[in-house]
Amino acid sequence: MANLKAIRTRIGTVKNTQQITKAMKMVAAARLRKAQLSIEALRPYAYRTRDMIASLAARADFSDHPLLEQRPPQKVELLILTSDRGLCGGFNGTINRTAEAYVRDNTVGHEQISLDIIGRKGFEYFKRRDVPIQKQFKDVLTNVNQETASEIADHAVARFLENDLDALYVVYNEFKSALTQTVRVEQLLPIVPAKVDEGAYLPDYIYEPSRREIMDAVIPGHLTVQIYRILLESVASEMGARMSAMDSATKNAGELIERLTLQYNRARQAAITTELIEIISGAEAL
Amino acid sequence: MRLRVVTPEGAKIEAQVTSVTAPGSAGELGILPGHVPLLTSLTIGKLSFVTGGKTVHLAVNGGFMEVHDDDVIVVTETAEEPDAIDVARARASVERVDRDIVQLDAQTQPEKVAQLNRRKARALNRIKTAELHGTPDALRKVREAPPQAGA
Repeated sequence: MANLKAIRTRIGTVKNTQQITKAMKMVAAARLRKAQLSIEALRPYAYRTRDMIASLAARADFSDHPLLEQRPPQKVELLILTSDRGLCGGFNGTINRTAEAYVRDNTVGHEQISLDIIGRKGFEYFKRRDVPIQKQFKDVLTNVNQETASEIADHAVARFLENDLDALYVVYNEFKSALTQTVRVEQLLPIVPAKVDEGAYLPDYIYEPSRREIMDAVIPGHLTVQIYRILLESVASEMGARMSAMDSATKNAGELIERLTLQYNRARQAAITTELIEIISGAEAL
Repeated sequence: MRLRVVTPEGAKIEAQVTSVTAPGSAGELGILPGHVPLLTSLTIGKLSFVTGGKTVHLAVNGGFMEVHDDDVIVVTETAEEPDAIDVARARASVERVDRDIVQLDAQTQPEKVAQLNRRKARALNRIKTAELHGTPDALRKVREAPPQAGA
């Protein structure tokens, strides 16, 4: 039969694709593990800093601190975290849709609402749409480290202090597990100190030099750590999403190969049967 | 008393210590067992502590220290052992700052200048800590290493 060769070629192609998806899954798994380790290492630091700010804020009113100042949100920015590469399931789609819906729903209340974008996929999506892009951060995701996090934080803080920006939100995929990511929208600026539980024991500290100065020293670092954590969460989610996307792609390829092999064998047998019939009927005719 | 040093890269140190000396932003301060609860911000400097009769030094960069019930927690951006410090890189960083800073105007870009000065202070602190407290072997290795191109 004529399509025997076609089926054989098709099986070969699918096998090649399967090898690629399998390799991508493995790479994603390795990078996921790395991101997870970084998140775990960061947690004690992030929680300590957060608790410190909460306990300081619980004892004194810091609402006059420049980074805690609540202004009517006229100029709002959304920091959105997408990926540079595709093939990671709904990872970028959900982020882009959430951000777009947020902008659409909140345009009326604010004078200005714009986007800060991390990741090529988000930029490509929004550059064709009617949403102002404030800034695109490039080359952040290839190597997530504290320096890039502090650059992003400094950029936002400078604009916040100059009244170019009244509130900053972040839209990112929170890492739940390798299989589940949830899109979250969180407020980064102005900083909202976490609530201290009622009746929690707060030791009577000596403050050196003073509460205010400690607060001043700790708060900028806090924002950097927040952004660093969010970057790591996003990378971990991306890798998790890619891992499961590539896993199901590999499975699908396997099923396709099975089906094609069956088809191929049927076709082969059909060809043999036809040949046999031809030979037998030829012999009978003699 | 117990000392913990926490950085974004993870918990660096967890040890039983007999004394701690930290670079507080209002001046260096020593902590001995039985200290009253204290909360202080730290500057760029050297954190020293005595554990098992030995004195250990770390180059730290900002953050804060909490003392409470003989439990000392130092939360800082970086904490480096003298032998882990790359002195050549720190020197190159100082040179780079010195070169860049003359091109800036302190009047128009005070933040940039302050940022560069902080970077220089960090690098100088690392050099100082490494030279004072690094083991001779590690130091010699650094000194004898051929100068890197462009450094």
